[in-house]
Amino acid sequence: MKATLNPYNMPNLLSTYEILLKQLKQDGKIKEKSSEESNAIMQKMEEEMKQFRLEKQKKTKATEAELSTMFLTA
Amino acid sequence: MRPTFPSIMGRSVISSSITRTPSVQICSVGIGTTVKGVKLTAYGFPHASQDAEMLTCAETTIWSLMEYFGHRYAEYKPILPDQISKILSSISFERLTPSKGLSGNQISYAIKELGFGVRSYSRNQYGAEFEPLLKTYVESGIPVVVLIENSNGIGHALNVVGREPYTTGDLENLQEVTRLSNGKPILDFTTMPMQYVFIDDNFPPYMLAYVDNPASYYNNAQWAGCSISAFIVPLYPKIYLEADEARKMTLLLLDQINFNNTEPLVLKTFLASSRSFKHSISQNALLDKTAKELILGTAMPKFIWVTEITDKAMLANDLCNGLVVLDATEPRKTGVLACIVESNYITLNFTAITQATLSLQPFSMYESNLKPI
Repeated sequence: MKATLNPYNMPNLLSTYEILLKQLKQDGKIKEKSSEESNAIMQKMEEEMKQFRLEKQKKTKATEAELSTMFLTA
Repeated sequence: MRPTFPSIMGRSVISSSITRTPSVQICSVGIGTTVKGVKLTAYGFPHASQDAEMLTCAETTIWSLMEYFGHRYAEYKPILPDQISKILSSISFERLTPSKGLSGNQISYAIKELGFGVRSYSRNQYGAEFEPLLKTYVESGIPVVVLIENSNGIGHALNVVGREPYTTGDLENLQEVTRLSNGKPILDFTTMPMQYVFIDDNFPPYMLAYVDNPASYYNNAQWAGCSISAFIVPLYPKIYLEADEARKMTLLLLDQINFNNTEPLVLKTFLASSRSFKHSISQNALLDKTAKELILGTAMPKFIWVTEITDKAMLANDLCNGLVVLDATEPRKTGVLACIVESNYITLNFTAITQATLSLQPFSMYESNLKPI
């Protein structure tokens, strides 16, 4: 017998969140960017973050070196 | 025990309401005690003076941090001073008592071994971002260990645990930190010239000073010219997105939006637990019902970065009209969970960006991180 994801035939209940989005969609209040457009935006952000994190790595190493020479005695 | 005056032994939790700084907003914890059998709870930040033998500033700073976290969260335990020596003995080549102080890295190592995901920042490396980052962590309700130095050989560690409330005068001093690509000016909440609250083991608790002059309450000429060289943040170990990354990601996101509001935007960024944040949203009487339901229905991890979007007029009334919520536990990807910007709810559901139009009025800002006591 094949395994099934819904073995007890439970109805597919929607969460309040999904119901709200569905209703807003019916009222014409939802705009969805295409997946290509969305991907382009996210990819651009991820590229910039990647660069930002590369720069940060150098700062992290240098900070660690600085902390080793700071003596807190007062 | 011999008399140790003026380096008094013992610990205290003193409510700031009975000190000279009654109106401050700080990270506070309730610690129970009894007086003649009557149970009482004192709310404040733990404080101890250094005895200069077992404890110097570095150890008391770690101790008070653990006293705070240990009484507030089940994940951590308060410690005794000798535990700090035991932890550090594995990386030390000499005896640690009597204490001669610790290096910045030793403080960082001890805090890491006590269960935190430690991050440290130095002024030399982070430059203009250094103070805004420190203030962002304080705004997140995290007591931060700051390391101060001057050219007279002073090296001192202390905790920053809060700030004084901002005034309308402070709002006029908000400074522009950047512009979006459409030319819209961005002001940062942390540029307001507020005094911050220091727990210094050489002074009573809750000393007030500006971050750019942290030893201003010392009358000793030897302490003149001290500045914060570095700070150490005890983060929950699963928080992988740091303050600078969260601030950068939010700006990149806002860059994609065409704003109708012509006023410069003021951004306030902080870390929050999703439980506290959602509770605050659920109790927000001014927030539109649909927006509330959408935010409460958004799946969130244990910790999130929140940026509240406001302007000077709204901020004067502790109101905002926008939010950006980021996943603080996401190390690599762009973890944008939800945004409310200019009457739009925006979310990313794996493949596509969904934008819902709502009718939004300004709503109350989140205030659970730093509390007046």
